[in-house]
Amino acid sequence: MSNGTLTRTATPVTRSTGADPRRKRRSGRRGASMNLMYLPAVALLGLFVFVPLVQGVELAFSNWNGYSPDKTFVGFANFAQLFTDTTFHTALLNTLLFGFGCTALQQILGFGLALVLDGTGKARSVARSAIYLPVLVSPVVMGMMYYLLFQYDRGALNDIMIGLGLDRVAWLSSGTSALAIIIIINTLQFVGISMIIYLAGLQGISPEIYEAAALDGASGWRMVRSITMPLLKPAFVSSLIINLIGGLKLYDVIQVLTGGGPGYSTNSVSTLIGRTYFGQQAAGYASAMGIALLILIAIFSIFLVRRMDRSGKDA
Amino acid sequence: MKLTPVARRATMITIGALTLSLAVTGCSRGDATGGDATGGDDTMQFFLNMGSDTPDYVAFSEIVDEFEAETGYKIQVTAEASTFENNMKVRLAADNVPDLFSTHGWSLLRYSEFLEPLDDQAWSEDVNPALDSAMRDDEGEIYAFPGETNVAGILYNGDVLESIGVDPASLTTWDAFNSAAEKVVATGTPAIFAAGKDQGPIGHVADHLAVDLYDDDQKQETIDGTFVAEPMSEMLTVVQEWTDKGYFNKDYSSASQDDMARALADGTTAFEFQGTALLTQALAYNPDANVGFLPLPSATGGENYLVGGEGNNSFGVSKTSAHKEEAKEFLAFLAEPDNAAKLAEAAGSAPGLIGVDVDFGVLAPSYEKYVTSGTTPIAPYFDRVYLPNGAWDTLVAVTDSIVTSQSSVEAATAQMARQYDTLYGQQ
Repeated sequence: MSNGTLTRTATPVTRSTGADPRRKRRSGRRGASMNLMYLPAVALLGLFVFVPLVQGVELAFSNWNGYSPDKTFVGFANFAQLFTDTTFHTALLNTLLFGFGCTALQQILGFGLALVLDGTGKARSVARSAIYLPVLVSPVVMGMMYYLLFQYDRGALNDIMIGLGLDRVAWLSSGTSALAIIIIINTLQFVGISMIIYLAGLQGISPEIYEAAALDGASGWRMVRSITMPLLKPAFVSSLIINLIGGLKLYDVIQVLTGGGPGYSTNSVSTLIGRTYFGQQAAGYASAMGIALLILIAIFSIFLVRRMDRSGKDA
Repeated sequence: MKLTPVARRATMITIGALTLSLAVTGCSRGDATGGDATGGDDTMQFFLNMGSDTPDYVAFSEIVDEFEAETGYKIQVTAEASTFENNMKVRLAADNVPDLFSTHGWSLLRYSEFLEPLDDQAWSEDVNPALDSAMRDDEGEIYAFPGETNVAGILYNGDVLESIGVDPASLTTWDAFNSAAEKVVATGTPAIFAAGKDQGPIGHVADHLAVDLYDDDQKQETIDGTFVAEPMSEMLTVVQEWTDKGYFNKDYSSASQDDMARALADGTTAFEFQGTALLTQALAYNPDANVGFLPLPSATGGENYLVGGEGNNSFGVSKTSAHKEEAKEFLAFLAEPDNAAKLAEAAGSAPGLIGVDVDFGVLAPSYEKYVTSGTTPIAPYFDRVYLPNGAWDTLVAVTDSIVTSQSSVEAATAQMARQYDTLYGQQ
């Protein structure tokens, strides 16, 4: 009950925004110093990626021989030559073959291996490790090992054939068989990457989805097709990008196994760049090939990354 | 232990700076074998084009050791075989030129702008005149010390020829050669062994044939900027015919130059087209191998000939070297008769200087008959003199594409013509 006098009760004044200016200044200084931490990585990237890239583009417009102090500007002549050079066309086709051919095989085999080896158990664990092990081997070593296998004289495979009473086979003397061997080597070496990516994807799928599908009568291949594969789309795109870029850049195995031969038949754009730069002393033209390869890989990468973004949103 | 913000920041900056400096040290212009590649300290850098497991390297190392003991100078030798040429180009481009380096036949046409002229050296007057066209410029200047006079022809295994009843000395025409090759193939042995994997040896087949098929006018046209296609087609047609007749080894695409030496040593082939240094390698595998070499028959009615010029073991001094005088002293040491003979014998080649007596061993009959006697003309390497710098690789590739049936003679000739125009335009 009021006694007729007004009583003012002091209420604490609260500000609607709570940012302490001192905290804001500290946060700003922390942000600036964190940006400084990027500097070494940015510097390394600039020094080893962007500077050579710019120099490579500059070279592509010259007819430099690779070692003289003199370079002459030739405009777009090197790029124009790409359109008429049948050797480059062969290398480009081979590059696409290595890229897409190896990738397709790696996805099929990698997915199959992931399905079979998903789960616990020592045997599965050992098998996964064994399949992944070649990924850790240098491609140069891989190429040498297979060269010793497929060599005509003193090669292990031909020695086995002689032991079985068969004639030796010149495995690497035909462009077709040599290309097939390169694809097989690259596929076997890096199928472990696909397998690991798919395994990670499989482990992210909730078992309840499979239980629900089983209740609806689905089983075996139907489950794989209707549940597993759709849910593995992000993994598929990741694996595709990694393997495709690797296949498009293939160099070491080809160089060691065939050197791009017989003739020019197994050259990729990467090996042809090396041969053009050093062997033919046409560094400018080789740089133009490098720019072309960069554009090719960039187009595929951008397309696949956008696809991956869309798949991620759909999921 | 919890760091204060300042300490944390300082730690991160330090780690970042250390990482960056570690990475930048990888960009050091120091030589991979240690020391400043330009010879800025007391050690001369010598970049050699030879395998470290070859007789040449053994002989060379002994000479270097003697020189160091006598003079007190230090020489750091880096030997590379298959990667030498590419690495040398990288070093030239990076202005990281070693004090001394092998010029492997290209002292005049490729490396002269980087080399110190050596005409004022006492040994330059004794250079084998056969090397003048390959090693001296129009003013007579020479840019490298010739450790050998490279000689190439048809290398043969005498036991294989004896088994089919053929005397090597009778192979003075291509008809006789082809007849012998047919007999060899009939025994199941490849008549001609070449190494496709190493992307070089098959080019020697082309080089050796082409220098005879081009006449003097055509050679001059080629020097002056016009590619003459007909003799090139003729040369590739010969290779095509040999391929069709099954003369080449079945494992051509995967065979290496080492396999070539072994084939000669083991008697699993009759003929090879290469420099005589390969015979030394074959003898290293089998000292009892019955091997020798022959001149190439002329297909145009001229004299039978050998091919030769500046060899692999020729050495120049970088004009930017900080040890020019010491390097020249070393070349003068190499020029001493005993050392010059040692180098040539190890390479299985004729000496680069006159007045040097070389013991050719089992190759003596071939050398005395065809080289020392002076009766057989020595033609220069076709690609080095008549084709633009860099055309060798294309010559190898087009010839290889014929042997492997990847291309026709017409297409291969057209490719050679295209590349000739491109490379000539670079000069």
